[in-house]
Amino acid sequence: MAEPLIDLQSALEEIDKVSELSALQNIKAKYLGKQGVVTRLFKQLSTIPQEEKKAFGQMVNNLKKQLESKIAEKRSEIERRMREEKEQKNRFDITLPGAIRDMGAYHIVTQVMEEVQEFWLSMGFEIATGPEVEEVYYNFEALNTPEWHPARDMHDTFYFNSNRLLRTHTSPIQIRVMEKRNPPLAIFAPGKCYRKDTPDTTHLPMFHQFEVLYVDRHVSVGHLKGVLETFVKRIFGKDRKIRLRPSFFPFTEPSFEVDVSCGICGGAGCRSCGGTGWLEILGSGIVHPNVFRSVGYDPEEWSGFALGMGVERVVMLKHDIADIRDLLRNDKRFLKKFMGVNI
Amino acid sequence: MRIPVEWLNDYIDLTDKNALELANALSLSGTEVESVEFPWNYIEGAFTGRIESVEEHPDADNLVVTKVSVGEKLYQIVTADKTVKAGEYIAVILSGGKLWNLEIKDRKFRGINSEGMFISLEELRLEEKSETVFRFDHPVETGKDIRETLKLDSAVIEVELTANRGDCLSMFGIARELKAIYRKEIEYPLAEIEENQKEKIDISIEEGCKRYTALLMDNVTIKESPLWMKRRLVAAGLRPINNVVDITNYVMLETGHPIHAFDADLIGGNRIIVRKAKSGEKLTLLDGKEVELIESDLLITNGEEPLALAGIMGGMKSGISPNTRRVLLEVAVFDPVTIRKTARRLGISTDSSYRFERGVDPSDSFYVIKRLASLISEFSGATVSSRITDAGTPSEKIKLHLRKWFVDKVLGTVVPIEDIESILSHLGFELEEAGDGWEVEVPAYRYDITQEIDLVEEVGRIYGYEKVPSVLPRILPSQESIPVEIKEIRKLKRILTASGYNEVINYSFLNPEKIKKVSGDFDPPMLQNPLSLDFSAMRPSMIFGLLETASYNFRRQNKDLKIFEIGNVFQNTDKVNEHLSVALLAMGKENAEDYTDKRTLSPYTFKGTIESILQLYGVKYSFEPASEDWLEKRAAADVIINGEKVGYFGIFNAEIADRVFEVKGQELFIAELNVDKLIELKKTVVKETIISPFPRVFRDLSLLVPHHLNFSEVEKTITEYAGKYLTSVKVIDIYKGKGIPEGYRSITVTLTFESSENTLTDEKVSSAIENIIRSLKNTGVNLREQ
Repeated sequence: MAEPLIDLQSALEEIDKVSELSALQNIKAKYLGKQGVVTRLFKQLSTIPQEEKKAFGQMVNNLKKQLESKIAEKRSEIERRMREEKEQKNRFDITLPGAIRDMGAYHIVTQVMEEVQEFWLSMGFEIATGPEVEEVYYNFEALNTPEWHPARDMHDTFYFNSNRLLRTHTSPIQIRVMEKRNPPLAIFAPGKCYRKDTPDTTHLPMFHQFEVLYVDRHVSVGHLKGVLETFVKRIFGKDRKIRLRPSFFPFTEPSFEVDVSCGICGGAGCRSCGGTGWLEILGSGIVHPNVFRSVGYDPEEWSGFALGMGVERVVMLKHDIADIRDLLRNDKRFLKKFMGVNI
Repeated sequence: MRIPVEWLNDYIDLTDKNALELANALSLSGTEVESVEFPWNYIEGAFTGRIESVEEHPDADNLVVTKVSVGEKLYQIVTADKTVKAGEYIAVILSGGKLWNLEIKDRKFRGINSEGMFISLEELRLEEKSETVFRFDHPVETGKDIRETLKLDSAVIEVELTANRGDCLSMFGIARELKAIYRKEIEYPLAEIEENQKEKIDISIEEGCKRYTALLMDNVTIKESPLWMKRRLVAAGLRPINNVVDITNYVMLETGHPIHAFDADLIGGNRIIVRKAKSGEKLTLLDGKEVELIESDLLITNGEEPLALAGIMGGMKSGISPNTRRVLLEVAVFDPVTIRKTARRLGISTDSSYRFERGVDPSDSFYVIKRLASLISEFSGATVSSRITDAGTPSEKIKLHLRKWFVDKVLGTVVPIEDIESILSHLGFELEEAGDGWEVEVPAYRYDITQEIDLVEEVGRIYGYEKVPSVLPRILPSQESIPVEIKEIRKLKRILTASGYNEVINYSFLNPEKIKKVSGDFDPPMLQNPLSLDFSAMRPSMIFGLLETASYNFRRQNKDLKIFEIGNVFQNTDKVNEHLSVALLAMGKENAEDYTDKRTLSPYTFKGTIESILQLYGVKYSFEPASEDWLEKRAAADVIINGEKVGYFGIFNAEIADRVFEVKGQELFIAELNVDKLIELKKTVVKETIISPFPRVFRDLSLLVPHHLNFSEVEKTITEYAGKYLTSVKVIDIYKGKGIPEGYRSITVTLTFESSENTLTDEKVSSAIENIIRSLKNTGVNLREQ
């Protein structure tokens, strides 16, 4: 039996030392190429005696397999290293900031108004609007607030002349809708309102309100309570409660101030609720028969509830804003802070 | 109104309730509680004491040294009040006590230690100026807290009454509420006097005065009121003056009925004529102010000259003075609207006018005048010297029918009959069963009860709304679509925030001076009664608020800013019009948060935002030179749709930006669009058009365009001569510099040709291109040589 013409061990070592693909190619050619050592051994096969042929063939095959596998292993090792080197060279510092395409923020008053609006739409209410410059009739008289009624004190009003004013509430929209439509109806009416209040931490001469009016055949205080409870839980949280405090508005009877349980102390009484456990959030009541009469509805046949809420107040409660005037300062940092809070 | 609880206790037994319980009960039955306070809590550590000895101070002539027993202990007190005598009972505040912020400590007066100080009525706010320390006029147990002994430890509940509840503006009124809440009884104080006919009063009244009741009293001695009365007045927020004035105030607070006392010697005869004022008539009021009157004002006169402005304030001339010996007491009822009109016009609001405006009980005049006279005779020694003389009549009591089922229907719960009856009768209503409910007689002081629904509310508020179960109504889905302006506002806000613009909200009011500083073209609607000059004009345009916002932010180093506002702007037409407007303002960097984008805003990027908005409306728009003189002519345009101007955009005048808004070194881009107009012009029906299946052909042209020639002209020429297959002209590059002759710029456009019938042949497109090039040549535009 002919001795192998190469030393497998040194061939493997030779491969091991290689670090370039080209050198590996050369080694491959040297052993496995057409003129390679192993190829030549195969060619010797015909000269090997018959009885040794099988063993020789196996030996050469084995040699070839070992070299091939070593070379393949080396190749993938070199390729992996090269890939890594390349990757390293082309790597991005992905911790650097992204090129942010700055989005604008919705004003927080808009965000809360939209959230509120969504609630009323989901309840089946439709949206109605009306002018900011109103007639005295719609703002007061049709709402059972005749001239010289002391209730007008609650609405210190801006006038253009004796008949035109800036609406002091969104309630005139009720009248405008009822004049045109027949009951039953359920409307939600958002808008800006104006009252002659000097700006301070809790007052603005211009604010946003929304009005809700529901007229049907058998509307009671119980319905008002049910709707308000659902509203408060949706907007402020499921653990919040409400209470109705009897009050007075000329256009509703009975009338209520609606309090929501304080979110900080849960009703026990703390600093932010003035120790009462409750926060006043809106005014409401059962539509006064005189209001129905002024739009030609029969108060014996129809009944309804109405409510009005100041949006800024809710914004302040929800976002812990101490000075209402911050809402109109429009500091960019303030605007950005509320980006995407509700919308 | 301030309600001292100890005062209420005179009429209704509340000893089983603390002030917070009362406040809560009032609040939940419709009387809004503002606060519960203890007005004398500023004094701590003050006690009753007895002066045991008084000695001269060895080293000071103006001081005396006293020994005072307070309970078991004896204290040494040095005082400058040398009138103190041994055996007197006084109030002393000892070391460790507190008076407002003053901590009382041991103090040496010329070597002699004082362990506290005596208290005067001035320090107790029961006297304006005290000459001496306070002493009791009778022996008291020593060592007691002075607040307890003088009843200064009772709570005061401050309530804010709603406009309909004039009847609650008194102790009686609040007692009546508590009577109904707790189903208790009230005890009214006795008021008995002996009338006589020594003197006679003549009264005549006219419209505006419903009732006038008067009484004369003689032998009046004007002096101080008793301490308990002062205490109650002070707790209620009034300043004690003298016995007669204090008693009129006291009885007003007690009964709710305003009262006036004239000095009978100064009114010239015992004649009272209530009449309307003559135009131009003048009267000097108790506060020294002279008012000029008009014919709707109501006066109390003596037949010749005015004595008082009815229901509002007395006249100076006939007021009570320290010399007053005879008084004429007036308990009247005036028409609320008459009083309100005068009070409003003159800008005067008094305790009296406030009550008359809200309605005063016309049926209690005799009781009130007797109560008044009995107190005056008790505390001033006066005697009654006439009959109670009365003109006018108490109005008829009204009766209402209340249906039981109606109560249940409105409240949404079945209220037990016994509860309805008990509540209403405790509130002073008289009930008689009738048909499906009751005939209810309304007490005269309840001006607010005029309809059945008012009675339902009375039942509800006392019964308690917490007992009403909550129910959700079944509301049918609406067939109405969302109003178009709401949709448009939402859409605009969506696209503008997505474009990097922040929404702001500004006042609709402006200072008209500021408007003028920008342009004289605006004619804003003016408010008749503004808060101040700054809030007196309605914004005729949205830009002012945005400019103010830019100014505010610029001064606070927020120099990269993109903002927008949507809201109404106002026009000064015959009836003041308003329309919806959207305005944008931008300054600084194009993308402030993107460090890879170094661009600052340019007229083109800003115009791009405006065009993105316009594209939402599916209408053809164009731009013309701006007509606003406060925009920079070099970079501004009006936006035109269908020949109508719908807005403008451009760079705001740099000089005005600096001078008026303090923004300098930075261009302000500003735009405004009339949203109502956009809605009106909007293409509402969009139908599918067939997208051509044939390939489009694109051709790029690099054109040398003279600097003075607008691209719009170039575009016009191209579209005019391109034939019917041209579907778009798109600018893809603008170049100035090397290779471009002076006075020119290179504009590269991509033209798109498309046919819906067949594949366009090269000849067709080429002939169109040749046509275009030829026509452009005539306008001075040539192809750029490569």
